[in-house]
Parts: sequence; structure tokens; C-alpha cells
Amino acid sequence: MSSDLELVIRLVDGDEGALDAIIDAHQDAVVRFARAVTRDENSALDAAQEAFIRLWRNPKAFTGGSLRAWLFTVARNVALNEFRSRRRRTARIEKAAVPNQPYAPRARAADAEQLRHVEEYIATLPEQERSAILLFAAEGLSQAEIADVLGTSAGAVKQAILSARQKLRARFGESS
Amino acid sequence: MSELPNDPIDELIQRAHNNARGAPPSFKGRLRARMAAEATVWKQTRALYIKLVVAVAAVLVVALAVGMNVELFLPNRSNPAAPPPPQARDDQPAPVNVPAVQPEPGPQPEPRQSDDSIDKPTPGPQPEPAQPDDIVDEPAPEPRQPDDTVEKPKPKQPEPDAEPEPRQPDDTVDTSKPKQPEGTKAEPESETRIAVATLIGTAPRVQLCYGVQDWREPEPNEVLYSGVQLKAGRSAVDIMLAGGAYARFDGELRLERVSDTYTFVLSDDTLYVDNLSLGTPVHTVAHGFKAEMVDGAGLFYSIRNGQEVACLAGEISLQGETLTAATVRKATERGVSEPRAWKGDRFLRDLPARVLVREDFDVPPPGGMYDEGERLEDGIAIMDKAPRYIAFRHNPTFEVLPGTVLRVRLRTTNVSRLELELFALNEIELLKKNPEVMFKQILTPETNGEWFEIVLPIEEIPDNKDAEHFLQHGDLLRNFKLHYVGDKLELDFVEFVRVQE
Repeated sequence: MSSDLELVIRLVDGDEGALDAIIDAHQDAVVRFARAVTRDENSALDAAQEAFIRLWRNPKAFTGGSLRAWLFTVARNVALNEFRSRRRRTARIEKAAVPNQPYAPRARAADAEQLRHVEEYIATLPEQERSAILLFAAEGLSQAEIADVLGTSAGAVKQAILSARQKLRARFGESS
Repeated sequence: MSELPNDPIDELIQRAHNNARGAPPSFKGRLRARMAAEATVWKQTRALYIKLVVAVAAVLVVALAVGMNVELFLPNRSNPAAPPPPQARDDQPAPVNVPAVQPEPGPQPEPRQSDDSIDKPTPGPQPEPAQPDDIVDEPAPEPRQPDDTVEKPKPKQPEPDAEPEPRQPDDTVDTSKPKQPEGTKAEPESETRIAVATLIGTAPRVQLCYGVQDWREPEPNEVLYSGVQLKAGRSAVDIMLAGGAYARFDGELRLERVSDTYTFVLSDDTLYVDNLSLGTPVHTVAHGFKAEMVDGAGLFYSIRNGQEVACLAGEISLQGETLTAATVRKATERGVSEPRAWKGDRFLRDLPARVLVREDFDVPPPGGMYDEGERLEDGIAIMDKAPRYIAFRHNPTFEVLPGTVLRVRLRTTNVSRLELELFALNEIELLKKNPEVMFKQILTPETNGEWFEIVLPIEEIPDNKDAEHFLQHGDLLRNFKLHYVGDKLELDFVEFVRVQE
């Protein structure tokens, strides 16, 4: 039995300590992922919060597997629903978020700065690719788990990951 | 489907992603606050549901008792030797022996003893957490009614229906007001002595009343109590809720507080409330449609047959549907509309700033001064020697909200430069040894030897090490520190206020 499942079972039994443990264990990852999906701080925090709220309201909705992946799924769905409802606004944000100038790494750019550029570039990828590559490379989810999160097939996930990798390699490959 | 092989670019992606900020320090606290608020609402709703069920049972018992001449057998229950009650119901003839169809209820006070019909209201299905009736139904008959009705072997009093008890324990024992009809909320018979708000200044022709009192003009800055009804006059009225939330309204409304929740019942027009980061839930009800705001700022409109809500910050729930910042939704009999973008409202023009923190230096701030030689005299903080700064700590830490503005009234003597330093807890830096980030702004005094004010949007103050990073919503300020280069610095007040963008 995974520790996540144990925690959720304890949560079902009303153990508030289990809820704290779940939040502590996953909040950073969920917020980061939600931020990558939404590219908006407030929306990300809202979506992440909603994921935990839904788990708290109905812990039995989690039936096993990776709890983190489950939280990612909820956060992403919440974020995308919100996005769709604000599409016009979002379009403006997206437009502003895409850098106009190609990234030209300085010879010895500070590592932190480069990471920031990578993160910014990832934010410009299509949502599916962005989510897939982050869940795969940064969160270590399997293709099947990512497919569950994104509500798509494992094949599509693989394609998205390969596409994202290719773009990132083209831009940062020489400095990675 | 085979797993993809590792790629060197993955490591870079991982590092970049993990280098990004995680959840801000306030995330868990806000989450827990929201859960607590939801739990409270759920408990209240469940309690209300049980009350209603029990009240219905009580009515059934009374009706049944009346219908079956229950007095005939009541004396035989707990006191068989007792004579018939001296005061039988007027509308009943002398009791005739009625077959004892009722089983013995026994001494215990449980309301559901004998009748099958009474047994129905067992607390069965769970109520949904947040339904809109809890406010309106709040003065419903208290659940004790059925207990009394069933258990007491005394003759029944002739009151027809379960009469609501005074609902708040600290209701004013008020005087000469006629009792209100049970179950109605419209006219509370007495003001409930729970201070809920303060009028800010005086708006022209604003009026208030409690219950059946006549409308009257309030005193300037009058304290308001739960149950107050307010009617705006020629212009909008500003009030400060007891928990620190700020509200402005036009039209007419009633304000109540139950537990920690403030409820505005809108009769018409518009209400603005800002309870961002305060933990004081606010509900609004218009035409039976309910909105709930635990942590946010919003506009609430009483419209024909419904309520329209614009969320300006945080999150609002309208009939269970969520609104996020900059969206508007409408609840009517046809349901809740899809969100649309908020385009502003002139109602918010000239909205007074909400004071978040203010130090007047009449006494040391709650977190204390730095005690580096500064002195407090007649409400002025004065420094005229090394290390040449005036500083104090926030206690508790102060969370930066959207639209936060720093205002400082100061006087400088032969000072050429001021350096404002605000230390904030920053989630990125929490991973490092020193979790504090310094945000710094350099200023030049406007005058010499005269009082003047600095007004600075706090979200424009940059990180001392990263000019592209600014203080932002959610950062937790630990202190206020103002360095100077020169002879003397005096501070009259320092305040952080939130202005509505």
C-alpha cells in the first residue's frame, strides 16, 4: 500500500494530520504545475487550492495510483476550465508572454538566469506539450500517468514530449 | 507503448522547473482557512437542517396531541397518581377516556418516542454543504420545542405553533417591542448586541433602523449591530466590518453576523466588500440567491429576480459556482450564467483605501521598534544619530495584497537621501539559508524641515538583488526600515493601505 493511499484512507477517516501531510508533500509540485499550465500566479494558486479542496471534500474520489498525478489532473482541469471561460483575456496574456526576440544565451550566463529562460521558454510551448514535458522530465510521471492527467492517449503524450524536447534542444541544446 | 529514453535536455527542464517557486508560504494557511470556512458552513447547514426537521416533528406532535385529546393520557405517564391537569385546553370538552393508543414514552426527553409519524425526522440524508437558506432561515424554531412538547406531563399551553426562541444568546432584552411573528426574518424585534461594523464618516441622508424601529439618521462613525438595516441616501455609504473588512453600498440592505460570518441581505442596488486576507467570511443574499466570499473583493448587485456578482480579487462562490478575479456571473431562476469579463464599475470611484497596517508611534508597534536609538515622543518617531534609521517589525507578518500602497508622513532635517528597506519572506529564498529578501527603494526628500508624505505602491518596490523582481501579492513583510543620510528623521505615521485598482 502506498503511503499516499494510506494518507488518503486516514483522511477518509477524518484524520486532519493526514491532510496536512498531503498538502505539505504535494503543494509545491501542484502549484508549480498549475503555474506552468496557467502561466498566471493567481489562477495557479486557485487551481492548486481547488485540487486539495476537492480531495478534502471527497477523498474517496482518489482510488489509488499516484496521488500527485491525481492532484495534477484536478488542478489542470480547473485551470483549463477557468482559462476557457476567460479565453479572450488569456489570449492577450499569451500574446504578451511569448518573447519576441529569440533567446541568445550569453557565453557564460548565470545558471539561474538560464534556468529562468528555460522556464520562460517552456511557458511558450503549447499547453499539451508544456504539461507533458514537465510531468515527464520534472515530475517523473510515466507516459500512462501523464496520459491520465492530460486526458489523452499515451501515444499522444509521447508525441508531445518528443516535440517539446526537440524545440527545447534546438534552443538550449548547446548549453544544456 | 514503450517508455521514452532519457534525454539530456530533460535534466535542464527538471532543473528549470524545480528552480521555479513552489507554493507561497501563505498557500497552506489560505487553503486551511477555506476548508475551515466550508466546514463551518456545512455544520451550520446541517444543524439548521436538523433544527428544521425537529421543528416539523414538534408541529406534528402538537397537531397530533390536539387532534387526539392527548391531555387525557398525559397524566398517566410520569405521574400516574396525579390528578388530571388543572388547565385543560379550552377548546376541548371534558376528557373522555381515549384508548391509550400511545405507547409509554418513558422519561427520557427524546422527541421521537411514540408516534410513527414523529419518527420520520431522523437525521437522514446529509445536507449539501453550502446552500443558501441558512441565513434566511436562521430564526427558525429552535429544536428544543419538540422536546418540551413531548416529554412534559404538563398541560399544553395554548400556543398554536412552535414559537421561535430568541436566537442569539446575547440579544438585547428589549423592552417594549411587540413580538415578531414566528419564523419571519423581516423585522427582528430587537437589535442583537453584536457589534458588526462602523459607519465611516457620514454619508448624506443615510438612514438606519433595527427591527421595527423607525428609520433614523446615524451618528457619525456610529457602531452598528447585527440586524441593522441601512438605507443609503444621496450617495454610497462606507462601512468597516468588525473583522477589518471594508464595505460600500448603495440602496438598502440588512447586515447580520452569525458566528464569524457576515451576511448582507440586499434589498436593492449595489454592495462592494473587500475581505481579502482577513478570514472573515461574507455572504450576500439577494432575492434568495446567495454568494459567499471567504477571501476576496467583490461587487454584489441585487438585480431583478436574482443576484449578479463581480469578483475583483480572490474567489467568490455564487450559488455554488465559482467566480475568480475579474469575472462576473449572474444567478437567477434560470441558473448561474457563464463567467464573463468584468469591465469595471464607477461605483468604486473614490473608494477609500482600506487600512491594513498603521503605526502612529503613540506606542511602540506590536512587533517592537528596533531600539537602535530612536525615540517616540508625542506620537512621533525620531532619530538623529547613528545608525540613522527608524525601523520596526511587523507582528504578525504583513501579507502584501493587490493594490497595497505604503504611506509615510515624515519630516527630514538636512537629509539628502532616504532608503526604504522592506524585508519579506519569499518562497524562493525559503530554500536557502537566509529566507529573507530585501526590497529596497531609494527616495529623495521633497522638503527640508517640513512635513510631507511619501505614497508608494508597494508592488513597485524592487528586490535589492533583482531589479526585475518586485514585491507581490502573498509576500510576507517582516519589517519597515527607513534609512537616511543626514541629520534627523521624524516619522508621524506609517501605514499600508489597500486601494482598489
